[in-house]
Amino acid sequence: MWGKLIHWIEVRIGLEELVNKHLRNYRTPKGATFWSTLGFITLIAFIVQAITGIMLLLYYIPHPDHAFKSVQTITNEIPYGWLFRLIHNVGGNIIVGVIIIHLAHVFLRVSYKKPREITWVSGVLMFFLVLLACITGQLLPWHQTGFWQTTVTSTIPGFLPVIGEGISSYMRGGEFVTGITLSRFFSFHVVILPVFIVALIFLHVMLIRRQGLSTSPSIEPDADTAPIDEFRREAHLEGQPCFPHFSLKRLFMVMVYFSVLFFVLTFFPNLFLPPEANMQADPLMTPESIRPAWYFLAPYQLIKTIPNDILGISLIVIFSVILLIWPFLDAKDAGRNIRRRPMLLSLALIVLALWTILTIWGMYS
Amino acid sequence: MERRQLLKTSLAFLGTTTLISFVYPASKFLIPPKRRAKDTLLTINKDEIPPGTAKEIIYNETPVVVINRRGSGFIALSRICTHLGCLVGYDKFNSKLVCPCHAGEFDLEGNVLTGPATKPLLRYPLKITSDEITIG
Repeated sequence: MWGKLIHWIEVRIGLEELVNKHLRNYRTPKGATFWSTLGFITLIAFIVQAITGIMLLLYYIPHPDHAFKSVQTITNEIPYGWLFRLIHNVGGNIIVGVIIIHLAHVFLRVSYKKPREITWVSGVLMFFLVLLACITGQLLPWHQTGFWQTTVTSTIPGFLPVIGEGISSYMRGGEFVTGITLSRFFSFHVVILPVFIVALIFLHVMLIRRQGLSTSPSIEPDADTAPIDEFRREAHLEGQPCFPHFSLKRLFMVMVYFSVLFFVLTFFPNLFLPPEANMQADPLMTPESIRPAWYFLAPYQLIKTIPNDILGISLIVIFSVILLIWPFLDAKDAGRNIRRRPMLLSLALIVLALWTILTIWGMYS
Repeated sequence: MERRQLLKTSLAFLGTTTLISFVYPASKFLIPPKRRAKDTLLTINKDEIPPGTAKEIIYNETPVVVINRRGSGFIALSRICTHLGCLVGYDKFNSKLVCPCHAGEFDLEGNVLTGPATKPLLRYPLKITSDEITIG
């Protein structure tokens, strides 16, 4: 029966040829570790967000008078609504964490160098868009936390000279956070940002498939030092076929991802939902303690620490631009092994340490 | 059982369990929530509906028409056509209820006169006092 079904599909789709072409003949480099699966895990996490997001849309009402109640109905009345809401909430935080680790791994492996500059840029752009999706998503339940986080977030660009006020006003659709802001954020969260993210995913995956996965510099330290002047796909003949070897690593990491997700859901369901997240937004009462999500704590603390607002926001903008165009700033033929580049290693470690310190500081300040 | 077969069976079992674990909550999630029955009563003034006229109201989220029939008194009928759910309207000149979608017609008791509908309109109980009509 099962064999007949497989044969039926095989005759119509050519599954065997598809698997051979895209998985068995696609080889992964020697020494491809679990770290190399993080991009795939990000994709799976994004799919989980998309599915749960679409499900939540079936009951969510994007109107200030109904948004909070509709989310409460989803959580308390709709069968398993709490599950899909929590998966979406916790999954949104995990996806940011996975992308940060993925970016750090790619950076420390110096995999962004020629010819993979566009892959890096598309990845960082995706990271920024995911952060924007988080910002827009936090307002949608119309609770106190989201409302006031949005008020603070949309005020910050206002510090920038000349264009700042315009950006703030554009974000809010007016002077304050109102129903118009909710409509805007809803459109961005469910349509505009996902469309751009999906487009970037296609570009990112296409580039990886065309160029081949990058080899670890510790395995082949001098492999990429020769100048590249024409397109060359890394066939990785010394490595292993993607299927089943690397696919099993991916499958294992997918299980790790779901384990982490369900561990948080089971033991810390309110980790990303403070008590104010159970109170309807009140534009006339700011909660006593209002903090951004954990991934924004570092820039939040930086702006708080630096007395000059313009300087604080400018530093964040400059850092973001440097992160985006980093492959073009590190274009010299200095090799890919970061252990042989103490300056680059020190820079990476200092940035990571500063980010961690600012995040912890922001959490307890 | 061979090792390979055991692995295949285990994988199939785990895969099916995982799939069911997602599909079951998802299918339950998609079932629309039951509307809570409301026991609220709706009272309207008799003077609002002179003989030969009707008043359209919303009762428990359902469109209802209360008609003051000449010689037969008050009646409350659902406006939802029993054919495909369009809302019927009161035709005071011909003393009947007409559905605009497929020209279904009902008499003032809610019974089908002509058209594609086969069931009568839903009738609501009324309590009539000297000044007021209470629906429900």
